[in-house]
Amino acid sequence: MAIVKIISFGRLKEILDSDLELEAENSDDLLNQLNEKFHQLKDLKLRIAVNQKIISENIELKNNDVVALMPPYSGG
Amino acid sequence: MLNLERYDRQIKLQGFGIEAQEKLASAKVLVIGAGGLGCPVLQYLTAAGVGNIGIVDDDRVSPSNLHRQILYTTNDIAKLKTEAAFERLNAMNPEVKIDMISERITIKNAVQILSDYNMIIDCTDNFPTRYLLDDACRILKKPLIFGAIYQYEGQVAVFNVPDKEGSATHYRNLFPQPPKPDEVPDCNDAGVLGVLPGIIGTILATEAIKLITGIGEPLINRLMTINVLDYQTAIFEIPAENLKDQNFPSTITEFEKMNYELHCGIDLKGITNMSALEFNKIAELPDTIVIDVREPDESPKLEIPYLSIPLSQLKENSKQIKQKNVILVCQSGKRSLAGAQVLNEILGSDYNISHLEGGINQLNTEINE
Repeated sequence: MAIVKIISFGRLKEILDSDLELEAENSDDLLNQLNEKFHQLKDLKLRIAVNQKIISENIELKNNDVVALMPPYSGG
Repeated sequence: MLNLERYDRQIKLQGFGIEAQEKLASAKVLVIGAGGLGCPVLQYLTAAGVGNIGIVDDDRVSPSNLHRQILYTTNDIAKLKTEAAFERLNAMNPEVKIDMISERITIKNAVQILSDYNMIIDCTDNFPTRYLLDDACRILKKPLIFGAIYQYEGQVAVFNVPDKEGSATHYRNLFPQPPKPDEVPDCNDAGVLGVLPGIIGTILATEAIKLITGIGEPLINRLMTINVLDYQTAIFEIPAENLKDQNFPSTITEFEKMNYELHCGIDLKGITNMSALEFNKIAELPDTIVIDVREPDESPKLEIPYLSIPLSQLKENSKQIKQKNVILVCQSGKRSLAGAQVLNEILGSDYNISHLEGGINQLNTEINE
């Protein structure tokens, strides 16, 4: 288990309300916890980055990792 | 011949010189969207001496554009954005050849329009056009500079340009699947701080100048995010991996068969798009109801009788609707379209469901004309 910091962007900032810290084994585990905690996150097309690298597969998390949650923006 | 005096202060720069200025003069850049992002991009690229700039936009200037779309003046309201922009830019730097393309970019005209330019800048304001552009640029192998904004935050990235290892990424590497229509509010619905597109647009122009002249390190395969409230910026690596979901075109023939509205979850079947002109004629006919799906505190209010049901409560309140002709309205036409889809599913084909395209914004622009 690792304690990681979560930062969020765009509309996700409103849903998560503030940056937070959670304990999780890997990125899938973390996402499940977040979906459980914030139902509005479910089904949103968000992208996840761990330590500023966007990930597509589940990865193991380490203490002090920074996980960013990003939605697409449409405005121009 | 280069006008050495006009460009003196950048030619002087170490690492720039006449060579870089000549590269700018022979560049052909296409800017899609002449709105919040497009205005500063156009201004700086024109001032910098990019040889040929194309502007694609079919929209007209409306009063609510003016706080951020700084190419336009109060006198430009109701004018085509391409024409108003041309006037200003041509006065700023008559040495730049500016093409006005007063159309919406579509699967039919995209290949032809894009072919004339060697760099594309995405300053659009909706997902169907963003995915359309990403696919077209990927297939045509055109460098694509991408910018997008939300309230106080911006995103910038450079796509279709190989990095040192030779790999290139696309918008689909960042967001493989389009969000649902009601998932991400746009500037019309969520609001935007006027300076934000100024900052993000200026970065887009910077990336264009860097790519053309070969200076610095453009945001190739990287996403930069900026928040103007706390100046938190971050740069994320975008993975150059094969896209799993094959639901996108890889040839021109496949591209020209795409339906990007449907691709982005916008199903127009059974829903009529109503223009402002038609709306004014039809809204007060018998057996017709107008429903404003905005929140009750939003303005301007409609000047005709209407029912107020916010989009989030439309499903529960659909039984209230007795009339056969239902017209939905909102600020920009986005929520009304989502609402029309909701009602279409519940009420079905016994009802004529339509929505005001472009929303109340459009209504006001056309009345002003």
